[in-house]
Amino acid sequence: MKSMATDLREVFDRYEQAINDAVVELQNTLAYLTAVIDNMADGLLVTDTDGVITHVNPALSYMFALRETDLIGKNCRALFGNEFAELVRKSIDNSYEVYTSEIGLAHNRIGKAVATGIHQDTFETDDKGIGSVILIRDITSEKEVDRMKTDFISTVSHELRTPLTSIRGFTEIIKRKLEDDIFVKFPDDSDKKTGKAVKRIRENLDIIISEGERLTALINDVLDISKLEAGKVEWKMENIRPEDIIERAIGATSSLFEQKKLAFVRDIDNDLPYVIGDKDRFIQVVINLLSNAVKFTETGSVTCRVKKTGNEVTVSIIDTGIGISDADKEHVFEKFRQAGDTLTDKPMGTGLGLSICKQIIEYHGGRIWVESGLGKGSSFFFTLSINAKSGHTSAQVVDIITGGKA
Amino acid sequence: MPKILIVDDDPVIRNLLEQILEPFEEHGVELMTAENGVIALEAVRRERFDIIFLDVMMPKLNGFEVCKIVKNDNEMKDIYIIMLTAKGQEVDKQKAKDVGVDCYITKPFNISELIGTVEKVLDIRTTWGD
Repeated sequence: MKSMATDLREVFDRYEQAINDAVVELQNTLAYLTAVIDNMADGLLVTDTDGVITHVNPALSYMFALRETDLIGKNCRALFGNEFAELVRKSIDNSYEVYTSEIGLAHNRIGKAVATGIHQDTFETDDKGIGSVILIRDITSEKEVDRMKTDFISTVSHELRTPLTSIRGFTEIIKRKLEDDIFVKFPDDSDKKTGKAVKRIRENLDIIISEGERLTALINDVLDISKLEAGKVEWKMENIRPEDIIERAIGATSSLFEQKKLAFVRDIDNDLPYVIGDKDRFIQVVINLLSNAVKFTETGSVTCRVKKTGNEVTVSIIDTGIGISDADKEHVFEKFRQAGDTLTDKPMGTGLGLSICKQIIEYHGGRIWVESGLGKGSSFFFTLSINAKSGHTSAQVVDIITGGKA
Repeated sequence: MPKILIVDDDPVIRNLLEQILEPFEEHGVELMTAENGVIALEAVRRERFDIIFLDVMMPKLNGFEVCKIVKNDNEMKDIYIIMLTAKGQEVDKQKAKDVGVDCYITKPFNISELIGTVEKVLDIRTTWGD
């Protein structure tokens, strides 16, 4: 009997020791995790599914100049405003997505908040998760560097414009004066050397003029993309008829079609709804895609197709040109990247156009992509968001115009 | 006879505009230049001009200030002001509109468009577009 009691005592002691060890290990782990969280340079904030703050670390308290007791138990909407609360709500509703937003911090500093939903398999919470964890990084310095970069680019662009004006202007005047007053004195039957010199001068002046135009476009594009990247673009959001965007872009590019004698096919759906966005910027996108299509197409046609697809309007610019290889396709929307070998192929444009298009479309919540193959032509697509409040009907227009009367 | 005043602190741009507008001289148009806003205002108060080409960034008195003074003066407000500037941002265009600029052209500009604008204002046809 005694021996049994001793045995039980030993078992009990062993379990007690094991539990004590586990508790100590758990406490150590907890202390370790707390130390990690408390020593993070980024601010950490945890909320429950109602957006009520359940945990913060010291970095976060410091960022907002608030004590932990001022934060815990408070709703983040009341403390940090609607935009932040929306970020938290979205991360809870779609707990497998990552959402980011900028947030104002104390002492005029700026933070970037990255929110994800917390989902724990053992909890019965469907897909909604059990709360949200938000990391906030102070990006004030990065923003300042960005601002300085944009200001610098803006200043340089302005400073370049004045000498470029003189170069382009005087070149055109020289060409004009040569044509009106000098070349007329050398008729076509002039001696061979003079005739050749006149031809060369004419060609060279045209090169200076067209390169001046290219440089102007490059300066405009560099300024444009730096403003887009810095979020300094003033967007004029309005309800727009998709047809208006297309017509304006076609009007602006009609001379390009004339020059290359390409057929232009217009395939615009009827009953197109209004879309919402910055009209001039959408026109800029279509002009860019149409110009690219003409630039890389020697024979055949360019089609502009506009269709309603679900809750969006999809615009397609389809050409029968040289196409893009699979390797190049991944990079066409990157800055200064064009299809082909940049060392051997002369660049045909600024190399910024598609990158600008991507920024514009994505700002509006749309998508832009390309389908292409070498020698198979290219199809560029982008989507526009429908303004559900407006209704609009128009007759379907499908016509084919050859020779540039686009 | 119509008169055009070219206001720019850059002598190369003044020279360029004088040469671009040369075809108008054959139609009796008088061209004058000013290197800053103060000299421009003195000239405009002294004699009557039909068009002013106005740069924005100039020492002493900038283009916006010159335009504001001209457009707020009953004697001068009808002068057609063409703002010719390297500043092409929306905020600058809006500022120009607010002070009464009639036409806003960004550098580098298209010569044919510039001549076309002057032809329209003065109702004169030059040979540039032929």
